[in-house]
Amino acid sequence: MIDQIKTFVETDLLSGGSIATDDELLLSGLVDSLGVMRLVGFIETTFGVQVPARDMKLKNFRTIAAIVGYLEAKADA
Amino acid sequence: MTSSEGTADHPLTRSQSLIWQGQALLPDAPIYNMASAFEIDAPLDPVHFEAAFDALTQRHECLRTVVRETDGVPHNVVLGRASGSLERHQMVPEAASVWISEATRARFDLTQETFRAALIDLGNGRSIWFLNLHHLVTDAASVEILFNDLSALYAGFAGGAPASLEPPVPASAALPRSADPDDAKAPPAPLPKLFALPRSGSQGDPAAHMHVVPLGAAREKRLADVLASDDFAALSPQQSRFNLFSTVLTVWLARLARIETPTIGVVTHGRPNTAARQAAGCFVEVFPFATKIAPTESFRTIHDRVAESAFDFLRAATPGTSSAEGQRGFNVVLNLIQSDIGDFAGYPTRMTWLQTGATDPQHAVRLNVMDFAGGDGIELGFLFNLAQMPAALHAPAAEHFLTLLDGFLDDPDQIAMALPLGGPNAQAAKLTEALDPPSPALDVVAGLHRQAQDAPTHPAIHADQTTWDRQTLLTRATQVAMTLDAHGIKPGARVGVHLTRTQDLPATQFGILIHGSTFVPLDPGQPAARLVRIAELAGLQAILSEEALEPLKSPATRILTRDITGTTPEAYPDRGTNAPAYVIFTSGTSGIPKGVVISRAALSRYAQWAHDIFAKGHPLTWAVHSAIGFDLTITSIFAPLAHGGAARFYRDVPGTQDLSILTVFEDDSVDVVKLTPAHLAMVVAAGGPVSRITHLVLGGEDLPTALARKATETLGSHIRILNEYGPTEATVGCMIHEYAPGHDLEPSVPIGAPATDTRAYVLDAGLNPVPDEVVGELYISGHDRLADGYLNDVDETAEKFTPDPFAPGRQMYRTGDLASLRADGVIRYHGRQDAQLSLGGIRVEPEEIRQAALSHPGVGSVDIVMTQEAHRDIRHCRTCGIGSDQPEIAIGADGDCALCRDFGAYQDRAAAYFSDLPALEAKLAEARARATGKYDCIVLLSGGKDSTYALGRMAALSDRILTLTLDNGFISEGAKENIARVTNDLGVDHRFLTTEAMNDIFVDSLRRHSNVCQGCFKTIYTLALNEARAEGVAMIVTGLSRGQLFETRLAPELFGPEGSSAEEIDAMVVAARKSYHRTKDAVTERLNGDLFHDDQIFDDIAFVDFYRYCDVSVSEIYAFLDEKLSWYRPKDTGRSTNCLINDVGIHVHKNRRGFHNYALPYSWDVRLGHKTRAEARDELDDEIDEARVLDILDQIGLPRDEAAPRAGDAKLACYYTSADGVSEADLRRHLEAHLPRGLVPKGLMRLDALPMTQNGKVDRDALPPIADDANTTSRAAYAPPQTEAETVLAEIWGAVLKFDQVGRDDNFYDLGGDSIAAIKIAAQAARKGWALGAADIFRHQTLHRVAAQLREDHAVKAPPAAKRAQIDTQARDKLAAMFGKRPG
Repeated sequence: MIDQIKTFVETDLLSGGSIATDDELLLSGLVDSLGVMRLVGFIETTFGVQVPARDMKLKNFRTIAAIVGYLEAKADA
Repeated sequence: MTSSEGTADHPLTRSQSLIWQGQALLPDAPIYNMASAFEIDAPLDPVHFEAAFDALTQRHECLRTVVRETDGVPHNVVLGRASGSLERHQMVPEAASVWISEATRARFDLTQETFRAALIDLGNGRSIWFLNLHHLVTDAASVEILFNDLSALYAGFAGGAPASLEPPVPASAALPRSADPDDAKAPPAPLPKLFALPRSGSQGDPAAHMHVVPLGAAREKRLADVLASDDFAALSPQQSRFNLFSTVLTVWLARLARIETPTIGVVTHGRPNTAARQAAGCFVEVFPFATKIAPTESFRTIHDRVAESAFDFLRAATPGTSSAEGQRGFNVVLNLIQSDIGDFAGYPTRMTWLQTGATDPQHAVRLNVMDFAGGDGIELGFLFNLAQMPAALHAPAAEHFLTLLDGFLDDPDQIAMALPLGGPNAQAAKLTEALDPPSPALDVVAGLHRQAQDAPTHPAIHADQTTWDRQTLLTRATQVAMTLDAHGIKPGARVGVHLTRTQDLPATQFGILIHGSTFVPLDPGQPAARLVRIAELAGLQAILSEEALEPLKSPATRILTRDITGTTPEAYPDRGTNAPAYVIFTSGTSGIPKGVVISRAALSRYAQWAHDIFAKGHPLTWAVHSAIGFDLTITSIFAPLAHGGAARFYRDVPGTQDLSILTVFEDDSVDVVKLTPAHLAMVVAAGGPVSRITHLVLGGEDLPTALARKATETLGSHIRILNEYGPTEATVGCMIHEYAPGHDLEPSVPIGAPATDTRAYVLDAGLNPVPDEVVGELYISGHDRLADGYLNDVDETAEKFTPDPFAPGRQMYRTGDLASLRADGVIRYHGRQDAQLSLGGIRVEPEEIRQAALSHPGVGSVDIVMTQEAHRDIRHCRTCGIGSDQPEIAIGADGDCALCRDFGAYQDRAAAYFSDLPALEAKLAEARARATGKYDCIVLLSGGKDSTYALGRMAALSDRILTLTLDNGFISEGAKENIARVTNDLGVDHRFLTTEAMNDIFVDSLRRHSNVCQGCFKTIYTLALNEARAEGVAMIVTGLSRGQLFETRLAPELFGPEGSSAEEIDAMVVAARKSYHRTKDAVTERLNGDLFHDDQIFDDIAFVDFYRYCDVSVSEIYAFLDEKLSWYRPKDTGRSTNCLINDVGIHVHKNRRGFHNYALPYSWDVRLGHKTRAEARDELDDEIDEARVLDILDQIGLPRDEAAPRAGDAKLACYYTSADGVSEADLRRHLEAHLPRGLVPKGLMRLDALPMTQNGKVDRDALPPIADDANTTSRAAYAPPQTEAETVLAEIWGAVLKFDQVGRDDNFYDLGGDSIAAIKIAAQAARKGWALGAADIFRHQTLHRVAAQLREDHAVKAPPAAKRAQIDTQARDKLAAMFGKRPG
């Protein structure tokens, strides 16, 4: 899961740049909200989950690690 | 393609196409110039700057891109040079600002240049870099990118170490492009109008002004705090800000334009990835964003919904998906602009965004929320289109926005629609004024007594051959009271007045008052049944009538005027004023007449005011000519007779059209006439100057200014026109405005100011006084000015008469009328609140259209109505019986529908697709071989005859069958019993499949397809695939009939002359099935799971249609079922279906789509010979039990209003009169210039006069129908093309715009042309060897004028190759949409 997300971020959002899983996505300005929306779309279709609007919080999406943590917590719930 | 000069060439993006179209419409207006001035605190080195700028143009493709047309289609051409120039100037700041302001407005020749730049040396140690970019190649975010790059480049050159910047991805490569602008065309939605003013300019005028308001530090701080709070923080500060500002803008629009579901256009930067964020270019896109607002909602709930839909919308708003269609749905745009420019090469820099004074004319307002680093904080820049928003309203509009913003920030939980708006408010001051003590008002009976005492022989009544003096009137009135006594009627009774207009009418009315009773007018011109109903509702004890009138069937005592006697009337006392004076019945919304009860005090106060104001206190003579059941007539009797004037009675003859009003003006022997605008229109049309008549009191309807003007011109300039407003509930009239020619110039005469002892409030949903120019609802309050209420209707009374919040102890009446205040406090009328019409789900104010029509100088009266189209004159195909109400079904001159005609042509080719039972056996053998479980195949069984027969035949081929039925919860018991018996007979396994999601699926299917069947089809397909996978089955057999196969699988396109083989068709069908199962809806959401994770399932499991392999007639099917199986026709569903929810689908489909969803499938049954035309027509003529449908809707959870008839098939019609002979075409052109296209009525009809009801109002039921095809376009009379160019062009227009014949005087717009059509026309012209720009078509419009622009161009390009792949995709999508369409 973590690799799929990382690959998507690097190829699609960062146009080939590279990123570590705990690099800040939003606060660093690497990705903006429009980019995160694309990422959400990717996550929803790839992992078959629904991300509701209320979960669209910085803490869930600030890093790739945070996203994975969020998705795992969601799967456990 | 590579053009001679260019090095690369690529199509326009959607956004670019839209910008190009907009600019093509206004080639000379700088609506898309984006100009900035960077003021740099240093004298820059011109050589280094030029080098840096040159490097910048090399670096950014957009600075080398121009746009050119090939075959009339615009495309980007990347040049080998810069697509603009850098000028160098040396000028003092003042000169620089003049130069900049001109350069900002410069027109670009987009084929040669797309930017203009300058380095200006101000001579004071400072420089300005001026950059004007055309929006076609850049956007606002590009400016920052270009600035930062140029800064770095300049620093490099100046420092002797040229900067090494990573080359950015060119804009053309950063994103996928979609160039095809050929969208489905939706009619443009009527757009909301802000404030109450009539649209002041023509549509299409780009002049604009930017009104800038800084938020200010304190407000910014509060904004930041709110946006940082958990409740309102989104993913990023930008997004939080977007959510908040779109919420406030939506509320603002709802408040100022009075619409429930405002749509705003939101701008997204369109740069989803790093590459795009580093590229300069045109990436922005604008999407429509609609939010429905309930009147009692808080900012918070609206915000949360906005955030939610913004989230959904941003996920969907992938680059390239904005469309021309979407752009027509809004005229208010929100753009959040952030710019973070720093120093220029180390020198402090200040950026100014320069205004061009023009805007896209489609937009009334663009709100730019601007946040420039180093600037003055957040500023709101309202770019107002001056044609739609006059300058005087800019500041108030912005102020209202701030009020709402503050309201949100202060308390997000307050009701957004009820927050008081600030700003200029002419009524606010009056509300706090102390109430005046009631003015003295003379009781009407006391008045009559006093008049009789003062001058008994003074004439009071003039009628046919009679003149009565005051004493005679009083005597006669008293005799009426005595006669009532004589009939045993006690005071306090309600007494009907069923009389024509003679001297007996006032005598009777006064007499009933003297008796201490209440009179109830019964207009003999009304249908007897209605009068009987009123008599019953009013509980009349007696009815005063005359011999000539047919007695009403009422138990009330009938007393004839000839029997009125009394011996000593002078001794008869006035029985007092406790009983109400009268009850007048108006038509209630429920269809039951509603009795409005008026007290004697209210009548007396009104009569006093009318006498004082209309007659200026003089004893004048009034005409009594109007229907007695209408309270307009009250004025002309009581104002004069209680106050010393006289009344002249014009008798009506029941059963004939009442034209007394014309006699009044022919006679010209009264001073005052009270009449309706419809009356006045007749008078003006018929009459000439009058001399005695001096006062006209207009009431009952809105008074067009043109009519008032015409009246003074026709009747004489001495005429005073007094426009009175008043609902019956506020005692005849409660507001007044004297028409002032030369001063009252708006389309309607205002209703002015409240009467004495009266207050009028224009309030919002929170009962706050609305600011000036904002439309609100009109409330009336006053001392003894309102009705007591509605007779015997406490609830309705309590609803309409509520405590006056501004005058403790008083009541106020909610009129249901819309009004606004002019800055001078004069109140305007804007029609009925409930007059709003819904056109295709969008609310339309007919009043606005009416005003636009009235603004035509030659137009007299206007009425706008909504008519249902298509329901009359439906033609039916002579072969299959399908109706012309079915979309896309044209019935030809030969009487056959297109489907029948086409089918005749491809029927034989289609036959090749079908096969026989041996082929099915082969399929079955194949499936058996692949089966991994205990079943050879699955057979889907609905329980109906077709699938039961199919199962019966399949059972003969295999004993390893699993039968599946969807139990949607509404399968009839009869069908279930059939299924149990048949599967038992055949010894096959059977399962009912079901899902908890069924109700969601029904609701979704009803919303999406207006039927339930499509949802069920997809459900059973999905569930059956699941079962097949679990059971290791490789084949699913459907029982779709051949008709169903044609309807849902076999599009005519598959059987074109080139034809497709059965294998190709199968491949298409599978492709369509894949797409079908992946099209997002309730079924895919709830049931898909991982079923369609990849394509494997489509390879593993095949769907086989039984009837593809078996041709059998209906009678054979029934014979088989009768002989072989214990199957009985179901009795509990009323048709050959097995499903009890089916009726809901039929009902909703009829309501929402306007035609029967079985019409198409049945037509196939007829076409294939399975049903006769008569049988099909008969089966479609069903009766639906509406109550049961509503129950089921509640049960499955579809709001009833979503199933209610849609006005989508309704159209607006405009009826008007014109003494100057203004033609329909003229008026249409006028309306098109003043209204958004969607608001221009489809049908226009000029009448000599608008038909009138008995009460002198427009009689809508009597308006003649306008044929659907009549003047729907204002086409010029046909004049054949004259030149070769005209002939060629006429042919092309005909082909593109779908007209058989186009003449040289035809106007492009009249033929329904739009930007896309213009592009197509230009492209076709080019193919035929004629050069023509699409812009020429907009500019010259008329065919012969456009033809004059045609230049022969022999460099004809070859037509582009057909796109086979694309056609296949389209065919697939079409098939996917057809799947599962058949109702069960």
